[in-house]
Amino acid sequence: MTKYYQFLICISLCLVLNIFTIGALSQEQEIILRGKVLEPGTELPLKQAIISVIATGNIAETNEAGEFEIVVPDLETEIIVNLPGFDSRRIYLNGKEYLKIYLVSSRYKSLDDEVFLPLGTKSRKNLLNSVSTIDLYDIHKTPVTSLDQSLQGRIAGIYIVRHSGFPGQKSWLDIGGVSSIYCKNDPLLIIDGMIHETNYADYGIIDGFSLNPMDIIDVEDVANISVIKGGQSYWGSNSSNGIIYINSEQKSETSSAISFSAYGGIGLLPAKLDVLNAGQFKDFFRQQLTGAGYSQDDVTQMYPWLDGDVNSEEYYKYSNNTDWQDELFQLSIFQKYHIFLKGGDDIATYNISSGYMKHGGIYENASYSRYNLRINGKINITDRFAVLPNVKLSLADSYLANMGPEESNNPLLAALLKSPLMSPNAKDPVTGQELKEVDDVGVFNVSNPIAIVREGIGSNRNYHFLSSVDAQYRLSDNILISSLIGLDFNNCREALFLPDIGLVNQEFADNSRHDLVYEFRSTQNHSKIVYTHSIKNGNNISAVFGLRYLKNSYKFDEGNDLNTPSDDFRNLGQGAKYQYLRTTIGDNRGLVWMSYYGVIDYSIKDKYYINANLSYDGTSNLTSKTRYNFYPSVNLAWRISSEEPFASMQKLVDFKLRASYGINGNMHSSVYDYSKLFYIGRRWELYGILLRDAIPNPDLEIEKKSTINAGIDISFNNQSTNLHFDYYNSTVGNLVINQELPDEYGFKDYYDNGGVLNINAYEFSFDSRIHKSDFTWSYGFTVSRYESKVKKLDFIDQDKSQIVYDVFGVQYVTKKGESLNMFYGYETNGTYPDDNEAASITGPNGLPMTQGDVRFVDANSDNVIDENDKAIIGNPNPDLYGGLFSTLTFKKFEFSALFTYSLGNDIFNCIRLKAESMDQFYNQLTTINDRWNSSNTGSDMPKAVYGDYRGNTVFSDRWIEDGSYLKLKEFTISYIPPKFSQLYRDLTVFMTASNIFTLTKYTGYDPESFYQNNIYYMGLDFGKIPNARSIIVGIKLAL
Amino acid sequence: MKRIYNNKLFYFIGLMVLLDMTFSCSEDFYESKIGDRIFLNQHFNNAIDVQITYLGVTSLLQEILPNYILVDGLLSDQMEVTQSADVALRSIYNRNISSGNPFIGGSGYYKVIISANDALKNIDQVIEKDQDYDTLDNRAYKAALIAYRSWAYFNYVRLYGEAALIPDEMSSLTEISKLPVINRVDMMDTLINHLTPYIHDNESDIVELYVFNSINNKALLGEIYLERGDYEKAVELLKAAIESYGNEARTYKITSSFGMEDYANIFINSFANDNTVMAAVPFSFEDGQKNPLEDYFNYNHYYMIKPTMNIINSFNSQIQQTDGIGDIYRGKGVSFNTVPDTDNDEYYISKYSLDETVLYSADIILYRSADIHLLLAEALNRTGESDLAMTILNNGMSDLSPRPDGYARWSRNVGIRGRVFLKAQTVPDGTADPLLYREDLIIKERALELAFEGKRWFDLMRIARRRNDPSYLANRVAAKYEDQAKANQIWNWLMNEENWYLPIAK
Repeated sequence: MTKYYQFLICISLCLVLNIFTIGALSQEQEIILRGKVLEPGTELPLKQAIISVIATGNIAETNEAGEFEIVVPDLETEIIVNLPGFDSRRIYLNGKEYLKIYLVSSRYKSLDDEVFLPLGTKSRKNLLNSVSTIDLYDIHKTPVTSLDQSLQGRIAGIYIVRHSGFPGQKSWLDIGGVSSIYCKNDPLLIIDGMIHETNYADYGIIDGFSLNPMDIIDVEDVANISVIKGGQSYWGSNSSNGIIYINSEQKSETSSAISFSAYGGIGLLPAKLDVLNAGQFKDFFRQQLTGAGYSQDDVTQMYPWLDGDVNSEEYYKYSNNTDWQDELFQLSIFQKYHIFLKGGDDIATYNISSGYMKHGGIYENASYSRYNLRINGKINITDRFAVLPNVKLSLADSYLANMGPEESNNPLLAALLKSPLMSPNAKDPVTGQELKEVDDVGVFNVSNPIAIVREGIGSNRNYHFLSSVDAQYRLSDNILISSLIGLDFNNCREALFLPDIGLVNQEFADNSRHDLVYEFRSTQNHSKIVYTHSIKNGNNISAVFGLRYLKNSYKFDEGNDLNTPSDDFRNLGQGAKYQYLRTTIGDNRGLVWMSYYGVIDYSIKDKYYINANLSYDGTSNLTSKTRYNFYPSVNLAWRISSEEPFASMQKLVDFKLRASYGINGNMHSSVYDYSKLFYIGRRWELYGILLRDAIPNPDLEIEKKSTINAGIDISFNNQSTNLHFDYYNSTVGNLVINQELPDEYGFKDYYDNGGVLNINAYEFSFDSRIHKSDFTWSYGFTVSRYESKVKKLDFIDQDKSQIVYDVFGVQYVTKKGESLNMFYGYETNGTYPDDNEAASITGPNGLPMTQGDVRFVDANSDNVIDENDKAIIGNPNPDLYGGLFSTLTFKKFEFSALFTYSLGNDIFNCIRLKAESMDQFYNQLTTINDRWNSSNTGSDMPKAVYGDYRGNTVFSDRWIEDGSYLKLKEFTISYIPPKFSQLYRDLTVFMTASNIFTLTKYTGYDPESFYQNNIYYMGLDFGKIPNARSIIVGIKLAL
Repeated sequence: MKRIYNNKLFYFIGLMVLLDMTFSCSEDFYESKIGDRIFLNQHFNNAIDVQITYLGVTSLLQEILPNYILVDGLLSDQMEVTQSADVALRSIYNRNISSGNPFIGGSGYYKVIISANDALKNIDQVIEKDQDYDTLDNRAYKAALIAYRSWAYFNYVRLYGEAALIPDEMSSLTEISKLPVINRVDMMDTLINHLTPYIHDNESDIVELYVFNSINNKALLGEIYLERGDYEKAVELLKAAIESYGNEARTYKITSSFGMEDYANIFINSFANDNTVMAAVPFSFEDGQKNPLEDYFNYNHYYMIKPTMNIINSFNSQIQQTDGIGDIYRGKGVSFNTVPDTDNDEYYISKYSLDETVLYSADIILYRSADIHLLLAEALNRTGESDLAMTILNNGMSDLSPRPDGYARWSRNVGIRGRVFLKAQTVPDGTADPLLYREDLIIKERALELAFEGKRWFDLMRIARRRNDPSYLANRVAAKYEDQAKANQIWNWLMNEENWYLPIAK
């Protein structure tokens, strides 16, 4: 599969009509164009390259020396140079009579790559706005499980944080920064022309898990990915966060072909955190018992095993030295198979691909398996009328335990906090022999992590269906009419059982069962008329007028049951005790969106480009007062390299300046419901009742983001070195904020457009290639940065100046002049060395502090640590992020590496909060060995306080860490063995190692972790499954 | 270029224009489901809509009442904090209350007011739409809604001193500074004006419609008159309240039906005890409507609040009709109990944990007949009918022959103390001011009968104001502080009537 064929198919699809002209151009005189076609780097001549003149259709071929001659009508025309295996080049003569043409191998990025955009393709050199693409070759090179991973580090500007190392898990995605509090922050995802919603998957019952909606398409089926970052207002209120545009592979040749790939591998154990061993824990436990008020005699009486009394009843239960992380983590086995069939003739073509993958998890019973099927094709009913059906299906099964902040059911937290004195399986009290059953909670009141994963595990079974039919009718050479109708359907069943045995009881529940079923459905239509026309002298015009319609519905039903007779009964409806505490929850939401748009593109002589968009749309989310909105955008580009003196510089192939301005809206939010007066239904005793829920804001408007983008594209050394720089200045107007109203309004929450946010984003990407006879080395990097600043926050309550939001005890603040959602809490300054200093301070829990307690910074010097002393203590947003990549090809070998990095982002390390809190009988990190005591008064680690009633563990900068990291994400070696049989076309074997090392100061499992897809969870690490190292070996075979 | 105008293109453009006209111009096109909510145009169509809206307003008291009871107890002499109390509760107890204190927020009262305004604005139209809903029904529902709204205003001004008068249903944000703010006394006048048109005349022939779980307008208006010092009107309305709905002998009269051992049943499923409970707010944990009082009171839970020794001693020193000591039917085991394994010196408030079969689901009583009887006794004492007042307080009218004029249907009335088998209170000979002595007895009885039900602080303020004697309140409240310096500080603080009010969160 090469770019060449893609190019041909694009012509046949007629999505871009630049190459069609209104024929009848008269030839006034004969001018001969001469030139030479060469391979860059090696400077070898390329023979049999086809040169064709667009205006006349004249064709010439290069000779052995790579030279050609061809008749052209004038020197203001365009020619195309084709050679299989290389990107076709389209060259505007710009007055030249002799051309030295370098063709770039189609596996490398070049200016003539066709970039796939929602309204058709454009060659890269003609792009007016900021678009990044990933090389097809790069996508397929490494065995990533989902698309978002293949974007990470390779595309400038897009910030991607994998939620966890669990394979079927969603990633946080934003382009150039967070731009909304209540609306969507992820980019619009378009797969084969269909808008693919992603945010419905955020609600689930397995804590910390949300399914990856991108799994609808297997990475190996993807032909191209374009990330469009600005200037595209024709998506109106749907696209303020940019667009990720994905096309699956289409058939590109008429002969039948089969390709097959398979890999297998193992995931290694994650690096462990250092926790206390049995001896250290015993000492700590003794101290905690003293702190809890027990005398030495009490302790001896209660816990005789603590002093090693072999005859005591529970001696064997509490006399182990278990490394719980060793017990929990296991090697995981990966496998994947994918087969791709294509065939057909001039009338109809088809592509069928099917794949199966299964990744084991890092603990017992965890796994992810997925089956993908894709069928697409093209049926030419007449030579003007074609129908393109497209069907994708995926079935994904995820099995895993909770990953949230509750140590009672998150096995990773439990493994850290569980005392090493206990063992995974119960022991015979007399003989000490290990029994089959898992052991219980024990006196330390920590769940047994093995019990969590062995006896109770969550499952998510997801059925995903995405299909569309695109009918295209070519009215004339200039006009194409198309209409796409499609359905996106997702059905998901999620279940979770928390057993009684081995787990700390939830309130009222010994065991509990949770079930969720949801269905998402989106029907869409997209109809458009595309008009293209090439005017003489290289001037092209195209215009599109289109209509889009989208109707979504989302419905879920959830049931929660508790206290089944025993852990063998695991279904809803089997709960016994407190069965009146069973709950059922359901919701049902819909969205209708209708949009009209028009786009005009005009290019003059390969030098000046202008594009203007206008769309007008309405959405059901808003009231009729604010429903309809216009969204304009303008893009300009100027190819300076076509102007003198640059035009005569051989080295400089391309130098282009771009500028764009556009406005987009952000319609995805249930907050807009508050624009209407509504009543909510509720049960109350035996009655159904209706309640007012809020004061409506009939003037609530859609959030609008206007972006000014300026960019530079430079390509030199025969396109072997490329630079792209972009600057964005975005202003989010109408930023929806929650006003906390004074009591007199009764209802506390009121949403209005009280905020304005400004975001400055910069991105830079560089790639270069050194090409010598036997080896090619390509390398590059991306650097991105964004700074957001709240420009305006208008509060109804004049005394307010900031919004403080609390989630799981973590506070975020949003205030003028700062980014959205900064960590907000107490600053600390070591510990109090003695009582003299401490006693005068009233701590955060209203009690006087003592020696060895945390010294909170008393910002206002009133000797009371309270709300007024809180400050911004961290920023979860990165300062810089991106990736570095390098590929070295030597003969039949290829070595490639991808690094990703994020610098300057802060993380709330909840693992450490729990494992250094020293307030219960939990096991702790070894860092507490250095805690304050009378002979170690200088320590920053406070003394152990059972119950922590003075508040040493409150949310403070003690738990905020620098989450910067540099990770060697992937390292791949591939090899093409000598062809030993005519039965196949190509064979490649490869080995990939992932997450090989991470350079970071962060002390949790993995700095790359995101609790749930919501900006209020940015930078929270509750102990999710880390991205573990893995090694995979595979083959790719084409028949 | 001519081909552009070929027919197919026209059809296509025509189709688009048609789509445009048929869809986007129509508001129905943009109708989409949004879960558990309905909009105004889908609402107020029939009698059921009125009922569920009214119940919605009443359910909002769930948000108010737990804090109302906590604040009443901590401000008055009935509750004190335990070791485990949090900063917010401690600061109420120590009279060091900041306006951000989570227990004193007043938004719940305004939510009732705005929601009631919303319903009042819209229910008239239902008469036209539903033939099963007539003007009589409408009047009854309006009366019930106005009663809840008035209750919210009345209690808000009693706690905070002043309240904003909310003119409408807030269908958009009215500027706060435009809302008139009125003080306690003016508010009472306003509420009298609101309520009076909706008072049912028991003497008239028209049947009194019962709206489920409504606050009795007559009781509320009577209480307002009593607070204002208009005793004649108070007697008239409080008596009429007790004689509501046909003046049945069993309805709202203190009879033996919840006497002695059965007394505790008043607090078990109170919502259903409609012979004695006039209005209650139910809680049900299983619906996510948890009564948090159990958390604060019960030793099994957080146990942040406990009863004062003052109230416990008061219960324990009552004399039974058999000369036994202690209020055995209302005291230990009902209103309070001992914490197990504490050698009987630690107590907890048990009134909201009596039904052990349901957790966090005790209903909170808003009005019950004993409350109204004692208010009536208080008013009668002030109008000079002291004997009648003492009868209601003590052994009731069932044994009286003949019964006083106008009290003919009170044949089953056994009196507040008689119901729980306690000896009658009497005024000793030679008491300097028998009226005040009797008033003290009545208020003391209210403290026992209505212990921890959110009445005491209001009683203390009412009597202290009536007697123009802040020390009446200050003495009683200061007595609960063991630390003498603290007690003095609180006493001094309470001698200024302005300090009785809670700060309003700005």
